[in-house]
Amino acid sequence: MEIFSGIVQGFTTSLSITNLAYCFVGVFVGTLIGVLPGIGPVGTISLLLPATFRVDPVSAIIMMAGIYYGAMYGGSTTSILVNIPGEAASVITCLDGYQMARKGRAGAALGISAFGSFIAGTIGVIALMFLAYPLAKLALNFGPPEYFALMCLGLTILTYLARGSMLKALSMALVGLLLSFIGIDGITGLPRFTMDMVHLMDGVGLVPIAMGLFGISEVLLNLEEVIKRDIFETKIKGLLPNREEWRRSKWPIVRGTIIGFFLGILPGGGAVISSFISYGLEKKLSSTPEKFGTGMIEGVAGPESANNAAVAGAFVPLFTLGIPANVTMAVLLGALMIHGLTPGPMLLREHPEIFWGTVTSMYMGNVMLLALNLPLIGLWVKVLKIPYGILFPLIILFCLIGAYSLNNTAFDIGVMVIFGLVGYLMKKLDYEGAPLLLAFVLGPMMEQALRQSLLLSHGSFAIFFTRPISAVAMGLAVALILSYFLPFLRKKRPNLEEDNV
Amino acid sequence: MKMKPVISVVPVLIALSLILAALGWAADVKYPTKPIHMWVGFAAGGSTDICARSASAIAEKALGQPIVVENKPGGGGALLLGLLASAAPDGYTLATTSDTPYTRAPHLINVKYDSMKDFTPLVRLGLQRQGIVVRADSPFKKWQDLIDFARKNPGQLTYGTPGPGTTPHLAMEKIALQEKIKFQHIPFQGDTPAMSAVLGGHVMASATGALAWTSHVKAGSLRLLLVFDPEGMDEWPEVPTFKKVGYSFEAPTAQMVSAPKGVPKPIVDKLITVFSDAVMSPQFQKVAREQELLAAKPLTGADFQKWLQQQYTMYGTFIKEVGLQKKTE
Amino acid sequence: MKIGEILSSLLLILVGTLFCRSSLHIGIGSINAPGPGLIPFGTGALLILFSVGTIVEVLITKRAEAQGSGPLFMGRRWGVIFSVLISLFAYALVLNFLGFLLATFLVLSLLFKIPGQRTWKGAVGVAALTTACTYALFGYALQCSLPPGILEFLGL
Repeated sequence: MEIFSGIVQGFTTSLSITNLAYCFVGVFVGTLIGVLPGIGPVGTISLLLPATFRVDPVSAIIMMAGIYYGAMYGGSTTSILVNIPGEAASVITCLDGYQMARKGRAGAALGISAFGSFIAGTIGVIALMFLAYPLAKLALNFGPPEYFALMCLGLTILTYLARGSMLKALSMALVGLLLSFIGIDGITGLPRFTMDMVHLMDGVGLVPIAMGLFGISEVLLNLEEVIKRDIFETKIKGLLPNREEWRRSKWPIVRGTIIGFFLGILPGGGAVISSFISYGLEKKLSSTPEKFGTGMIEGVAGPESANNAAVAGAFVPLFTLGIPANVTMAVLLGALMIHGLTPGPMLLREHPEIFWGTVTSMYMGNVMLLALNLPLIGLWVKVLKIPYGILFPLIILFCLIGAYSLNNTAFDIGVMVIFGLVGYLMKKLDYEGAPLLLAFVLGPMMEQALRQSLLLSHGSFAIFFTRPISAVAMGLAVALILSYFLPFLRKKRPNLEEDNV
Repeated sequence: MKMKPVISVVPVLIALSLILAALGWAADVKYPTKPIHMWVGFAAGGSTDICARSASAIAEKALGQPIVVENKPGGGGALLLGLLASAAPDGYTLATTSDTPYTRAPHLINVKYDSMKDFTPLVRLGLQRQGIVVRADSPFKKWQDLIDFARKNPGQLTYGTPGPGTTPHLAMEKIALQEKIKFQHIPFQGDTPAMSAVLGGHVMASATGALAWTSHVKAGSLRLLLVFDPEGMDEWPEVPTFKKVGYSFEAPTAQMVSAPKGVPKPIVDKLITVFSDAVMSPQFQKVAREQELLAAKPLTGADFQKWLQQQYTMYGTFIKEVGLQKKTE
Repeated sequence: MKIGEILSSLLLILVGTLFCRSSLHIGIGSINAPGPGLIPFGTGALLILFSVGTIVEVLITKRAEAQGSGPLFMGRRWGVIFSVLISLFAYALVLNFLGFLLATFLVLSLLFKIPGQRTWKGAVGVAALTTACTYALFGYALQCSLPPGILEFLGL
């Protein structure tokens, strides 16, 4: 009953004209920065922090939360249109979303990610309302060994992303890990592999690598074609997903939502991991896994739902334990503190209006986002009709500004250009960028968790198999590897014969 | 008689130089004429960031020019000081960091600056409260229980900290040295992860900044065993301080504002006045209370410089004693 | 394509070796007290292993043709690719000196010109317009701090 009175209280707070307006401003700005690469929710929220000093704390949090999930809605747009992931969580969307755009189905891809996001966001908020407190303890059960096991499972699933040689995909994942080790070691504080460059002390940035590897390299590849030829099929077939596409997306959205919400609760890259676990799962369940990467709508619907559900999940540890699940949440935590509120076990008791007001506002925010994004699809699709000779300098310009504005240094532009060349060569040689980028995101967390586990266990690897959660995750990883290798070894011979023909 | 012209020239010269100096001084007082950049050595939303933003928001009113806060995190603030060392000393580039990159980082890693020579420390905003917590259901009811356990089981007591070389880590290692026992250190990245690890039962104790655990101690899910600062904490007067359990050292962490070396004196004075006033303002004191920051008396100028120098030397010997000093190649 | 795949694998082996060597230098530690180099060393070693595996795979299978986006050395417009890459590098180098407005205007003029469909006049015009629009959006509306460079006196 307490929950229902809370919900009523929440809606009275969030439905006030002022708070609705703040919510709208939040989701609007969020959509905008989600679309623009480089400028992420972290930067925007920290930029707006001082401006919210004088505002009522609930309104401030409602607006900043709106920016966060609004950015998740917008993040898929550039992935689909120009193959530039707005953030790590939409890397996976590039794989099939961009291919759909090239086939003239950009509208369907954008549409399904908007609807998927809406459904996942709404279910996520409902789950947040009812399960936040029961689930709070779940996040705490994840210690270093559990994280390491989860990351292992994640990396194993990466091999499912590969279309060509698995060895090449694994090599790329390892390169991603190695790149992520550059910079200050989180455990000893010593700089590693920095070649004495100040800019590398902080590591290589994710955004310049992602924009180089995906965006710039794609531009280079397209420039190779005669420029007059259209890169995109100009005949846009329908602006929204058709009935067949809906049928195929239905279950991926549901599965993505569940995966996203639960992984979102865990501090760490919940949104990222859930997006590619969802992709891996859809590919595994599909009757035509070989078609993934050529424009399968399941590969857009699942991950896009997952990363939006993860947003709702990420609020669980923030509100209940005061533990931010990611950098954006850390900034939100700071925002709450500036307003004199300490998120944690006392928040619901002392300031119930903050929790319920924010949560219910997210419901309104999702409705606003859907209303805001659907009409935009028509506009985005028109972007693809711009002749490539004009479009490509604009794409590059957005990448340049995005890479620069992240840390305000031209060094990141250089990094982006280098990875543009690397990505171009990789595409020529059939190496895939997604495993590299995802391993790059997971690398630091994985390494830390492994080293902390070994310190905890005094060097024994048994720690990963004696604790239930990590044992299950490790077991799943091993089973996946076996299920991949067994048919691979068995099929090897017929494959060779086939090739001989 | 021949001296006369010379003598008459002297007062003219003095008068002239006085006028010039006054003009020059007047010109300097026209500071600031454009927005000031406040760099923060840590990520947005963290303790240092919140201090920097609140202090800047108050100070910019007194200065009449906006203070633009920019986060430049990395290397525990060491990256920022590297940049600050080569920034223009015109008073338009300031930095807020903890004292870590000033007093500890140079002993631990190779840094690209001389922390005692390359900067003008302006104001110490406050000292961060810190303490050691265990989970509420832990068998350690008081500090001595933890020490007894560690003595009986060498290397079995696991404790989390916000990272290697942080004050909680140094303090714990120094305690181990003094008690002649051995702890197992598990470093995390930041106060909150270290606190979550003790909450989840993955480590037996955690030594972190107070901000991370106060709400959990209030809610009864964590128990506070020991407080770092000599005054103890008002909310839990029964919890012992370092001094009370027989540790004669302190391990403070400060939040501070500084500028590059060579900023003109009038500007330094103005900034010191403005930022000390900001610290003493009720708004900042409220933020400080919420941030578990002891900000009752801001240290400034020469006193602050002296304090930093003391800390630098103290941590130098401290770090050598516990064997964490950087490798010299 | 075999040559390209073997060369790239050799390059990855080199990368792995460099990381391994550097890891040894910063200290591997031991399994119950892992040093900062332990995990990078393991990762580098695995990379070497997998790259050797890739070479073997390429050599023993007859399916040698990479299904990537066409042959590596037969791109028809290498000139275009390289002019784009070089102009972007140059942009990174001069950005802080020339400032956002000037550098962006120059690089955009080049980019609009490079595909070879536009006259210089047209390219420069579009570049000027685009630079102005982006500056209004990012510099003013979104308050990004873009470097002013030598145009600082304009006070933009």
